[in-house]
Order: sequence, then structure tokens, then C-alpha cells
Amino acid sequence: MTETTQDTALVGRPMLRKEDARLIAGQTRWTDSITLPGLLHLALVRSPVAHGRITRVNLDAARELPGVVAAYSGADLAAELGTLPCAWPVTPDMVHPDHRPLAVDEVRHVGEAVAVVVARDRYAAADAAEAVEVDYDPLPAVTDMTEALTDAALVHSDKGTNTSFVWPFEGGDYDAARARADVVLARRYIQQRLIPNAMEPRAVVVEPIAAAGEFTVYSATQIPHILRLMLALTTGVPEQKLRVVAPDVGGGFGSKLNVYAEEVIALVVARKLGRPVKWTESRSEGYQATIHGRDQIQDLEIAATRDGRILGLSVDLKADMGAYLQLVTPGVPLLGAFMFNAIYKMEGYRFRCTGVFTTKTPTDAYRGAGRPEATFGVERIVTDLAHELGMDPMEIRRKNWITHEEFPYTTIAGLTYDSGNYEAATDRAVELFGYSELRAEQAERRQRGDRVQLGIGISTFTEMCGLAPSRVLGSLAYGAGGWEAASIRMLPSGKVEVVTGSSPHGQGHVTSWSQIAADALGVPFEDVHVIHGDTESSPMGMDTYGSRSLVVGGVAVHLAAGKVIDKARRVAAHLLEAAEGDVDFADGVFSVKGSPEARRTIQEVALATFAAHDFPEGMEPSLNSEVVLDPENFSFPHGTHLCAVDVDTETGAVSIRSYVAVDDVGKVVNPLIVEGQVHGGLAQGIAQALYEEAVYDADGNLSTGTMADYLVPAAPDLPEFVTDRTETPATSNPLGVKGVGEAGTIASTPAVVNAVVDALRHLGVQDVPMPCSPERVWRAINAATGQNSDEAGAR
Amino acid sequence: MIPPSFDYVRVSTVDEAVAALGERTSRGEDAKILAGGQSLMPLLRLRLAYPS
Repeated sequence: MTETTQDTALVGRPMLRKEDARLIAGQTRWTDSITLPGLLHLALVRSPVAHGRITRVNLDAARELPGVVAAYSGADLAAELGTLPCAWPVTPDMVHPDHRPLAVDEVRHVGEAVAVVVARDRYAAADAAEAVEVDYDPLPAVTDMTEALTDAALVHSDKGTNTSFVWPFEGGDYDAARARADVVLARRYIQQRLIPNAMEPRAVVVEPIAAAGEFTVYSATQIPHILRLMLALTTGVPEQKLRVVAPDVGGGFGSKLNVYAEEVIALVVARKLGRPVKWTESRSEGYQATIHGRDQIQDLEIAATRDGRILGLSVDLKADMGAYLQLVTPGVPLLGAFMFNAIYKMEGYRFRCTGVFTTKTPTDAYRGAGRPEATFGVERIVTDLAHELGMDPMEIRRKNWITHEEFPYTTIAGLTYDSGNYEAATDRAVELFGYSELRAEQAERRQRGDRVQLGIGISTFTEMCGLAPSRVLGSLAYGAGGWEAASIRMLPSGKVEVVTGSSPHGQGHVTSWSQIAADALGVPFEDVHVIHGDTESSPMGMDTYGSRSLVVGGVAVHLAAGKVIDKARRVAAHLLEAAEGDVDFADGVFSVKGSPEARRTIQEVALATFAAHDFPEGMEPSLNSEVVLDPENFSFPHGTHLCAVDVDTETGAVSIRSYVAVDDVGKVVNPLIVEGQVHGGLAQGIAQALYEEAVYDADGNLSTGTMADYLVPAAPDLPEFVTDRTETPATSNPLGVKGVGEAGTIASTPAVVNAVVDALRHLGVQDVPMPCSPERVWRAINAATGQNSDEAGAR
Repeated sequence: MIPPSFDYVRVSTVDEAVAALGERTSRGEDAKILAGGQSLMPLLRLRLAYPS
């Protein structure tokens, strides 16, 4: 659309983030920093038991404390609070229990809210919450998915089952593929439960204008637009009277992609009292009340020929929903249905997922959402298959992946991968890693029986990003579309406002969108202002999750800029008294072919449009445009990650010696931001492999209830990352971009665990359950070698 | 992570500290010494300590 000369192009340059000066200087607006006249504070009384019948809620003592304005039980507010939405009914007969923001009769996980107190300050609210007396008749906790499936004890007794849904999917003919196979390998992998840890806890502030029946909801959310609709449907506040603002939001990783009890409670209490209210979670409260991630039992079977050609893959998942279905809980594991086949060609594929209720915090989308689980399963079993066949795990991948000449390629799961070059990314990673040298060293150390063994892990991953074509979401019974909106307004002074429906919470949209708009319009980077996260100023949006923002929202900005230029060209032609076809546009200047002195800058055109004194007949005097882009396909970033670990066979300690990540995210808008996303993603994926696990005891108590018990790694726990990129542009969008938000997390977990197992393979170790803590590694070694046999086999 | 309410006495000498502690202990109150705050503050915020 615009011929920006290469040396001035902003797209592709490591521009410093515009957001950062303000964030670093503390000139921020976090939801918790918002203070309004007459603000009241909420505190929630939460269940200390995993499962129980509520027999009594006594609010009298709480109400009498100084500073307390009101206190409500679930029964008091039941009619107004309604039930929390789940937007993804994955099967027509899905068991979908009511999910009341405040429990009325029964609690089903530790941390479920049962009452709310309202006070003049946070301290009084906390004291009042402590003064509320609630009695419970205990009911059996259901903490194990396999036991849950026997229905011996029910999470929702009125439903008669702990199974929410069974979702089958078939591509090709798995039975035929299996029948022809020389080798069939079955494996069970466990995806442990994880707790998302965004830097900023969740918070919500509701400001009512009682006389008008209007409400402004400020929330630390990833999804202000979806939240507005859902709050309107849940509480009955008309959508046009509800404004939702996501101010500065400090991370989400999926945990703020939800409609939470506290958001509904705050709105209902503000409406009831006609006063502004605020709620901010504490970290340990969030560990129980904010969604968890992963938690699957994966039973995989792979069928192959003796020479290492994969014929088929079968996947049987059990996915822990927790006690209730949150916004997209049931859909998360199903995203994996399209990703277990990954980059490999095969003839038959079978997938089945059973959603299971337990008395635990609900699970939902957590960075990668279904795709890390799938990538882990397939990258582990393909590696195990190579070992079974006596092949190098790199060789088996080369033999089975889609070659770069074969794109576009329709996979056995029915997706069409538009582009990719697995050979190029892998060759680069192998070179940076020194694959053959490390294999030689590994052989030598095994030979001499070194106490510390070297392991090499491979992950050749892809993912589906850029969620999503609306028709595909419709076919999967998702409750909304996958489009994104952008508009551009040229101001009279020639400056630019970009309005995006995508809602950043750390991704740097303001910077990347400025680069895209500035390039397309030929204006300075500094002249672009990006507006987001407020349903009043960015009225249409589908928000930020699933590595979709750049691919859908950023491309929409690019297209909106194109529309502005199309109109500006007609205005310029009029001003220059030239035919529209004779007007060129480059670097922000319209000029007439053959007479370069006849020119108007885009800023001059903007001012002329504002004045509208001399304007084309019948044209509206504005240089604004709006685009709502429904993507034609997903995007498919890919990459090759290689990890080398040293494993001390006596202590079980694992130390990452080197990590190479070569990612292909298509065209890169800002390499600094891409690098940051990859680093953070790697940290999060390595955390699952080695450190993090949400543990419940048999009574359903969350044993890892604080950051002192739940091991989020810090910088010293992580290695130096070697990162590089190959660039195979996406063909499904004009910028050629693919998205990068989840890549590092998806790729790194199997790379690390494959490396740990690889270090111990010669000792007979076939699996180490995550997180691969020293104890678990030590037990796996002893179980395999028969030492300390009284200890062997535990966990 | 919100501590219960408590009184705070700021002292500038050891003698003052001893006197303040003695006075409260003799009244049957459970006074605690706040120095660096690395232990007491987390206990307060988790409501595991209720000094008075």
C-alpha cells in the first residue's frame, strides 16, 4: 500500500517501548491505585473446606464492627448475582453446573467465596471478613481425576456424574494405520496443575452513577470488551450503561481472560449501595480464587513402521475442570486436538477428551492453553519412539515432518498450515547448539560413568495462533467470533490516533501498533498515539489472548492505515488538480507522477480535510477509517528448541547447561519485544518442567498456598538463553506476521524434560514426572536401577 | 495480606524500649519488638500474629 523506503522503515526495528518511561517512572494507573470519593472496600469470606454444605452464615458480629457498611451472604444476593458464564459449551449435552459468585448451599473448592463484607477501608473489611461465622457440614473431597470418574463421590450431586463432557475427534483412519504398524508405543504423561502468577494481582473498582443507572467497571482484565457483554448478561445492567476499562494491567497469561465472581459481586454491591467499591486480591487469595492451568492425564499411543515413519497417533485426555466451568474451561484442552499431530505427517489420528469435575479451583486458559499440553505429549512420545527404534531423536523428526516444499499443507487434524520451514529453523538451532559435539560428549561421559550425566532435549514445535477465523470458532461451539477492530483518526495537526480493540497487559501494543501505523502512513513514530482498553474509546474488540493481538489486531491497524491513505490520495489529487491515478504516495508525501514539485504531505492533507474549504464534491470531511478484520486462517509459528542439561545421578539435581531457541514467528515488527516474549515464555515453560506444581492434599486443601510453597523461578534459576530466528512469512495476512506470545512456553517444557530423560535413558529411565525436582529425578533413577528399592516407584 | 490493627510505639533508646515492653507485659498485653520487620511483618500480614 505504501512504499516506505527500507532505511526508514520502523517495522523490524528494535524500537524502545513507548510504554516503559511511564511504567518505570511509576506514572501508572493500576486498578488498585484508583481512588474515588466515598470509595468502599470489599473483602470476601472464603471457604476453608474443599466440599461442604453451608448450614449457617452469621454476619451479625461483622456488621457491628467499626467502619463496616454492609455484609451479605450468598443467599442475600442470590437473585442479583446470577451465575457465572461459560462461553464454550463444547458438546450439546455438556454438564454445566450453576456457578454462583457467592455460594448459597454448597462450597466445592477451598477459596470459594461465601460472603462479602463492605467497609470504609481495607483493614476494616479484612477484620469484618474474619468476624463472619460460617458453618459447614463436610462432604467428601474429590481430588483425583481417576477416582472422580468412578462417581463414587460427586462434586455436583444434582448432576449425578463428575464427567462434564466427552469430546471425540478423528482424522484419517487410526485403526487402519495402527494395524499396519510394526511398532506401537503407549505412554502416559501427566500435566501437573499450575498456578498463574501475573505480576499484578486481580483487582476491580466499580463506580456507579446511581441516578443514571450507569456503571464504570475498572478491572485488571485481559478482556474489557467480552467482560462488558458478560457483566451485562449476568447482572441485567443494560450494555449501553456499562463501561469497562482495563487500565494498566500487569500481566495475565490467561488468568485475566475470564469473568470472575468478584467482578460481578463488585458491580452488584455498587448498584445496591450506590457507592463506588474496590476489591483487590492478595496473592494467597488469588492462588485459590483465580483460575489454575494445565492438569491433564495424557494417554498416548503412537504407531510407526520399523524404519521410523509415523503412521498414526491416538490421544486420550482426562482434563481436570476443577469444581466449575469458568469462561472457556472446557474448550482449553480441545485446542490441543488440533495440535497433538504437530508438524508430523501421518495417516490416522484419534483424539478424545473427557472433562472431569473435582473439588479444586477451576482451570482455564494458561499461556498456551491446550497447545503446550499437546506439544509436550507429542514431543515426548516421538522422542520415546526414536529411542525404541534406535534412531536419533532428531532423525525421526526429519523423517516425519512436513517439508518446506509441501506448504500449504492440510494436516490430519484438518488445519491448513500456510507456511513454515522446519528444516531451516532446525539447521540453525543445531548449529548454534553444537548438537554433534554434545552427543559425542554425552557418549564419552556415559562411557566413563560420570556421576553427572549430560542430556539433550529436542522440541520441534508449532502452534496455532492468531485466534481466530470466526466460522472455525463457530464450528467448535465457541460463543463469540475471532475478529479484531482497529480505527485510525488523522488529527488536524497531522498527528494520528490509533484505536485498537486488542487489550494489552504487558505485550507492548502501543509500540508495535505505532510502528505499523507510522510506516503505513509515513508519519513519525512519536506522532502516533494508541488508545486501548476502554469500551467507551475503543468500542469494538475481542481483546488479547492466544497470541492473537498482532496477527489480527495489528494487521487490522495496517489495513485501517491503508484505508486512510486511499481517501487521502483522493483529497491530494483534488488539491493538486491531478488525476487520482497520477498521485503517488511514499514516505508520507503525495506527489504527481512526472512533476515531483507538485506535492502535499499527509499532514497537509489532514489539515485541508479539517478545514474542508476546498474539498472533493460529495466527500465527507474526515480522514478516519475503521476496519474489523476476521482472519482467514490461524497462523502457525514454529521453531526448534534444544536444551542440554547436566543431571547429578547421586542427588537428582538438574542444571540447564545451554538452551537454544530458534523461533520462526514470521515477519518481526519489533525484535526487542519478540525477544522479551521468548525469554518470558521460556522461563514459564521451564518453570513447568522443573519447578512449579499446585499440590492439593487428600482433603482438598491447597498445600502450595503461597509463593513460599509454590516455586516460581527467578532469574538466577534460569540459564542464559541463546535465541535466534528464521523468518518464513505467514501468507494469510499482509504483514506476514504469526504471533509470539506463547511460543517459548509451548516449546520449552518438552525440550527440558526430554533432556532430563535423555540424560538417564541409559540407566533405564523412561519418564520423570513434572516438575523434575531433585527428589523425583533421584527416585526415577533408583526405580530404574533397582537401588534403594524400598524407595523405588514412589510417585 | 492485611494485618490486624495494632498499636505502634516508636522508641529511640534501649531504656525506652525496655520500659515500653515492661509496661505492656505487666498489663497482660502481647507486645512484640519490630526491628527489621522481615519476620514479624509477614506474620502480621498473614494474620498469624496478633500483637496487642
